[in-house]
Amino acid sequence: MKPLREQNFYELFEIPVSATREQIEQAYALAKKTYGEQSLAAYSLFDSEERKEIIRKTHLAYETLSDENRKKQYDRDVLGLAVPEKPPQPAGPVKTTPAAAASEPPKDIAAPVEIESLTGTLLRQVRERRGIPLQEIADKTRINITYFEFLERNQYRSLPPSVYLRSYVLQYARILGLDPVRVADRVLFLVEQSKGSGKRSV
Amino acid sequence: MDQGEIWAVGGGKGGTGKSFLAANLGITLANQGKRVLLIDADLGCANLHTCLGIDYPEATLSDLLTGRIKRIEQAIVPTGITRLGLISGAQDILAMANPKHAQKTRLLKQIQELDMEYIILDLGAGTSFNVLDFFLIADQGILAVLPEPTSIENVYRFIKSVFYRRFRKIAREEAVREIIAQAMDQKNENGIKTPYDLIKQVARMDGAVGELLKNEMYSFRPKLVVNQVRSKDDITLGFSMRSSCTQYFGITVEYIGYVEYDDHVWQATKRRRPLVTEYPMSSSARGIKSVAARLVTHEQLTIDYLVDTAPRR
Ligand SMILES: Nc1ncnc2c1ncn2[C@@H]1O[C@H](COP(=O)(O)OP(=O)(O)OP(=O)(O)O)[C@@H](O)[C@H]1O
Ligand SMILES: [Mg+2]
Repeated sequence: MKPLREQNFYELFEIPVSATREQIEQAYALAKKTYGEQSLAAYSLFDSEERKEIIRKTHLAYETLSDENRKKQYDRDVLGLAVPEKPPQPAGPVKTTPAAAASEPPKDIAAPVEIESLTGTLLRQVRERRGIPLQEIADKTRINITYFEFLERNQYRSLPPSVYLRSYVLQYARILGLDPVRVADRVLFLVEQSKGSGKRSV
Repeated sequence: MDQGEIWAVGGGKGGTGKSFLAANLGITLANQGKRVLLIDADLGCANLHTCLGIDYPEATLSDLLTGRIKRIEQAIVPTGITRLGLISGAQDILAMANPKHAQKTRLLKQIQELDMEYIILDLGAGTSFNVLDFFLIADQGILAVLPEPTSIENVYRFIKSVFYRRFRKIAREEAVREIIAQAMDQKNENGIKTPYDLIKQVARMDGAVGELLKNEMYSFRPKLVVNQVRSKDDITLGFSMRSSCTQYFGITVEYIGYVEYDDHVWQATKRRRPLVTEYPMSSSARGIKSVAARLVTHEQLTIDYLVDTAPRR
């Protein structure tokens, strides 16, 4: 959790980066209602200036996220996400059902994954190769999908504190059939490392 | 045997339906085959037994806390509902001095050793330390709010009080505790308005404690139930409160459902009969059941829910 001025548009709307158009619309409508003039929920926490400020940011968020090009640009410039040219194709055959794939012992990936070179990107590749949708992991673990998205996009600084993160990554790695402890150690290391470098979040 | 899961129903203001929810959630679980214990932790103003349609029992929580009876089992009375037991509270404030923290902890330990799957605490109104401590002890803290300004303000005050009480317990150092105490005062001179400000201030004094408090923000996830809803706007209120809490307190409040305003409630109350037993198909009883289901499965409502205009359960 972060204060308003540090939140990106997705955090403001409480939606994942992969949110549908409809979810964006809903989040926007709710924000307008929540912080608008007639607000029952917000008036006692925020004065009218503060609410106007939130509404302003909400408008901007909506204008940006509802326009495909601006959204792309935002994801790239502000979140630092590489935008794939095509929708990501699962590499290799994914004939097995996701559930079966998850419980299968790792064959192809486990051995070649060098823990020293493991990054969020590589985790995403492993997952896609296994044909496990991120949403499924989020559902199974009941962990906010946004965290996994940050992880897979190497947005380490946006991840929750390490006590929680550790358990999240353990569960995530287990579903992918990777060595949970080693993956968790590595991710926490990456998080530590990222604290040194100064990438600004908005 | 696994320890029972403890739920506590609070929310600050009087008359928001805490006892009504506690009793009916308990019955709902018991009817689903769970072993459930209801505890009336409204010390001084106990009336949960009335919600269940039974007379004020011989043995109560205060007997246990004062040591008049030794074993918790002796304080449990049957409710007439299979698998549902009740420990009644003290009705007389004078008889019930404020239990010490050690007493509450011992009580908690005894509660957890019982062979129960769910233990539901009905908390009193207000933000006394008793109420806050029981709320903090629970695995799931449930806030009952009515869709009206005073109730909403009270829920926010409640959240803030619980929060700062927890903070104070973590912070051992006097100087840090002092800052936390000051922060409770809205017009404090440190300019601390929100928990964000507080944590920032504390982190400057002691980085490690600041980190601990931040972790606390992540793990504190009270559940919200909007009771007595009469319109779609009332249902939306739960989402708005969730968002406001994220923005202001930096915490996640989970919106786990709502219960419609329903004449069946007072019809049942008048006859001293629990709602879900008397009118299991009423709109309010259905609301209670879906709240119970979400608590059991640890789910919450998502805003897609609002797309269907007709109330859906
Ligand atoms: N959904 C509802 N529809 C209609 N009436 C309701 C509903 N929920 C609660 N009530 C009524 O509201 C009144 C207050 O409820 P209840 O006693 O449970 O509140 P409480 O929060 O426990 O109050 P206290 O803080 O005094 O303990 C009761 O008369 C109850 O029957
Ligand atoms: Mg009550």
